[in-house]
Amino acid sequence: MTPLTQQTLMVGALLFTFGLVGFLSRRNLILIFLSVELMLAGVATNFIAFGSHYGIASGQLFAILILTVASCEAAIALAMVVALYRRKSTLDVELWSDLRETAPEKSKPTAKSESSKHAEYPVLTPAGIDPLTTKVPVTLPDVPAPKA
Amino acid sequence: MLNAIWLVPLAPLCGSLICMALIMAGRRKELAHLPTIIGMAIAAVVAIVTYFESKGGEFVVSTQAYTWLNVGTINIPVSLRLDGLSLTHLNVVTFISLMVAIYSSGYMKGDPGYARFFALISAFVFCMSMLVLVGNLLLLYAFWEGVGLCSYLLIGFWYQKPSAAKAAMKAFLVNRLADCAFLAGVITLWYGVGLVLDDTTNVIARLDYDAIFTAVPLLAAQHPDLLGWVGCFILVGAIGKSAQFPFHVWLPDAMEGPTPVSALIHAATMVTAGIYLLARMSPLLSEAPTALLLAGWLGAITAVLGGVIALFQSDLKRVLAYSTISQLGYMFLAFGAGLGDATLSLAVVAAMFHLITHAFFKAQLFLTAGNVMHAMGDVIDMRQFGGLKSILPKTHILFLLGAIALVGLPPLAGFWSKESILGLLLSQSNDPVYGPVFVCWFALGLAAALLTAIYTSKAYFKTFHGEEHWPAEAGEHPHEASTAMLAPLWVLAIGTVFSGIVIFYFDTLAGFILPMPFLEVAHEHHHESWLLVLLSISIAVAGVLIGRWLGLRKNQAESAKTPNAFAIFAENRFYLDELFYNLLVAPTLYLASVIAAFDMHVIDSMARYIASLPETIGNQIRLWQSGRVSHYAAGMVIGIIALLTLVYLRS
Amino acid sequence: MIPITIAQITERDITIAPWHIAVLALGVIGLLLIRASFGQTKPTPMTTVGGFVALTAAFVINVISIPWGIEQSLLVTFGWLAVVASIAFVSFRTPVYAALSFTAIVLDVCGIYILNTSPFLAASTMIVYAGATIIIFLFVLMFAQRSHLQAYDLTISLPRFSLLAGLALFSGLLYSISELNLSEPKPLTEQKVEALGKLMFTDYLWSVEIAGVLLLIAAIAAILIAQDHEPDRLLEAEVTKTTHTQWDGAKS
Repeated sequence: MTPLTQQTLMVGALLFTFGLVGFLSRRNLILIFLSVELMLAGVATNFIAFGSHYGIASGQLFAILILTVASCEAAIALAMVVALYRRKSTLDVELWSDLRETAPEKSKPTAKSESSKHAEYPVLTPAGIDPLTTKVPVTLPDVPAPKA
Repeated sequence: MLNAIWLVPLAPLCGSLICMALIMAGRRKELAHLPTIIGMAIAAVVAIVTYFESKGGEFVVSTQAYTWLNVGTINIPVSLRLDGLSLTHLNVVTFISLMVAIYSSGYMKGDPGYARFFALISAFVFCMSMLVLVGNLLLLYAFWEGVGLCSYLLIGFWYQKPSAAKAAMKAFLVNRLADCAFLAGVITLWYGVGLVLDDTTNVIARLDYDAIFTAVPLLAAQHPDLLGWVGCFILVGAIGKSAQFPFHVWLPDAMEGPTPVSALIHAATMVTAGIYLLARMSPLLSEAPTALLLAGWLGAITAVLGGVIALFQSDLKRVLAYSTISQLGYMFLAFGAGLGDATLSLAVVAAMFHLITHAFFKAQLFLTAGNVMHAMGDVIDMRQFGGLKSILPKTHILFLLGAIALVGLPPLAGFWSKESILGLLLSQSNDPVYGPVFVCWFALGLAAALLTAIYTSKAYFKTFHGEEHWPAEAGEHPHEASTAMLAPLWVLAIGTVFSGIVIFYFDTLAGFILPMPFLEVAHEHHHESWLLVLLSISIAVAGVLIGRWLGLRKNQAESAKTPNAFAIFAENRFYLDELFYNLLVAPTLYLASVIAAFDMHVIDSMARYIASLPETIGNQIRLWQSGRVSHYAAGMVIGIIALLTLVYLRS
Repeated sequence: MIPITIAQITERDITIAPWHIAVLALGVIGLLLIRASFGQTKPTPMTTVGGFVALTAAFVINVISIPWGIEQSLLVTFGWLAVVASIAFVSFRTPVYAALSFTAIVLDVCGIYILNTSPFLAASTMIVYAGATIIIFLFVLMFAQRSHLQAYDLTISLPRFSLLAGLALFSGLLYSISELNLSEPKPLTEQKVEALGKLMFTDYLWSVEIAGVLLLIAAIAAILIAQDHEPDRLLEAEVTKTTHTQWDGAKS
């Protein structure tokens, strides 16, 4: 293995790692997507390194494919970011957690004893909170009152 | 007509099905008595015609009616088997049932469960006639249980009444208790027959009567203990169904059902099944003297016990119920008299004789009691009415006839059959081994006869003589029963008056029943002892006089008198119910409560704990589902690192 | 922080020399210090400076321990620039700066592509990424930009876990790179772009077509997703009813 290949691989690994760190720690929607792009760049670097090592063009080709996919992802991601931003006027990813599970109610007994007279019908476990009934903290921009 | 015998069970079955269809359709329920009566009439006519055509003697007709089960080597055909014994019993069953059904069409009029009632009594008669007709002990057991089921449903006919529901439950459970023994007997017998007969082609055919009776002498030679046990088991089953001591407790409570049901149970379809079983199994019992000895003792005890308790009852139907118990005790006593060599055939004849006459007069007594109850507005306590002779003249005459027959005054039916049992006992009294026992039984039989006379006449005089009064429930003018309720009673009265003397003098019964296959027949008839006749007539007369005195006593005098301990004891039926409760029911309930507590606290809590485990774990895991992207990404990263670690650790 | 070079190392047997560990330790310390300053509302100068000093030391050790040549030095320079830009990317609290440092990363990576005999790809990446994608990202960022920094930019989620996970993953990747056992390198025989073009339109034609279709779908999807299905609140508040209907008509 040539030093060139090895150091390129090293750079790729580092980019991937930093992308991961950014993905985990960032709260800004756009920067999270950028972190993913960074990880993709690291992977593409690896392809280039191996392709160059073996003297074939496939590495480049795969890098181009990755580029394409990254572009697609960017397009859709940004469209979604725009749509989400319209809903809540914020880029905070923590606010979009409608599919979370709520904490179990402590007061509810875990199992019914059979001595209860009335038939108990099974209640399905709620999957996440109901987005229709649950109020999420929405920070709307202050809308200036219409002037007469 | 021998080949049409399958009509006998089929016609009531069809009647029952039609009644059920009426119930389901919910229309024309008021006509439900018609299919029942027609079905039973067909059955009765076929039975009677067959009876006269067969002319008695040794005849066995087997027809395979239906294949119940055919699985591999197990083939259970439902085959009907007709011989003298079953035909005789079949006549009693169908005839009495027909009369009761006709009577019921008047008695049950207007009841909301009219159609249900007829559907059930048809089914009852179907089960009973099948019980009599089948040729296999296992099938007999099946219909034995069918009879038990129908009796349960009929005793609990007014299921809204808690007492009726309880009585039905009691009858069912007490019967189950005895049936357990019977089933054990059947299984033991099946095993035993398998030991001595190498017939492996059809395992169920081992319980065919022919196979059993073929095997009995072999068993008696090889496994006498086993045969003794089988006899005792079968005897226990019989005393359960026939309400003998100590299983008699269900029968008085069975009065909670409608009165025709009481008549049916007591005269035709239920309690006689035990007698029939013993008569059917008599070739087996002849080799099991222990069972016969037990039968005799239990019968003697029951006869006296039932008489004593009947004496202290104030409920007319209960008096009759205990009277039935007492009379059935007589029949068991007759079987006891068959203890000696070759006399079992005579015992069977005597028992069947008493069964027939008893069926007539007991059905008549019950149905007339039903008339009284009907007129008195469903009040049956004898202290509340009296002197009904002029109000219910026809009922009075009918009851009187039945009472005389029961008391045993010649020339009515009861006298002859009772005489034959007592005479049999007396003729056996010089038996070298069991002589003293027979004497003892004879004495007990005489005592029972005296008691019978006393309680019967007491009930009669109390009800129909003395000061004329009736309860408020009866209204201003109590009236005589309708024709539908009186006509069958007149028919029964013919049997009550003449059946005994006809059977005795023409001696038809022995000739008809006795050539039973496999049963050794004794040809020497005991001779009527004029001394015995005089003795029993005088006892009956004395009893009647005592009963008259008891029955005509002023109610005030009776209530003012402090009842002595024995009266209280007898009035409370010797506390046998309580004894049963404390011996059997209470421990069972206690065991049940222990098991229930175990189930609730151990099994259920285990199940609940196991059931709560997924929820507990899930409650922890669901918290990971925080909805935050970074947490999901963290999960992915942990997975990736774990995979990487795994890959490099393995390489 | 490129700790492992192969000056005296054979291809099959890569050992870790003491200076490797020094570079690695210094790099870790630098990262930790920079990250520690990142969590606060305001970065503390001491930790930031300390972190960069440590990183510089690691760089110096790395540079002086490799055989010097023009290719090597360029590669090390681009590599370290990319690393520093990455640190800046994850550390900047202002989103625009982070996006700009991502541009820097892309440029450095393109340099590495050129060194790895992929000039066409370097050019296209530079155009697509640095030229188009980052500009769109910046545009959206500015679209959502507020007058001051938002709370979600000032704080981070999972600070310790992200660092630990990054370290763990990097150690894993490092280990796998050190365990790599590649065969002899081969030079590219054909013209570089020509070879790529041949490959694209012969062996990988389907993949390229599918990628094209994917792009088309993504374009349509982006249009559909970004469409405003709800009445515009600002418009509702400000525009009179007549103009509103006019807008609706224009939309439809």
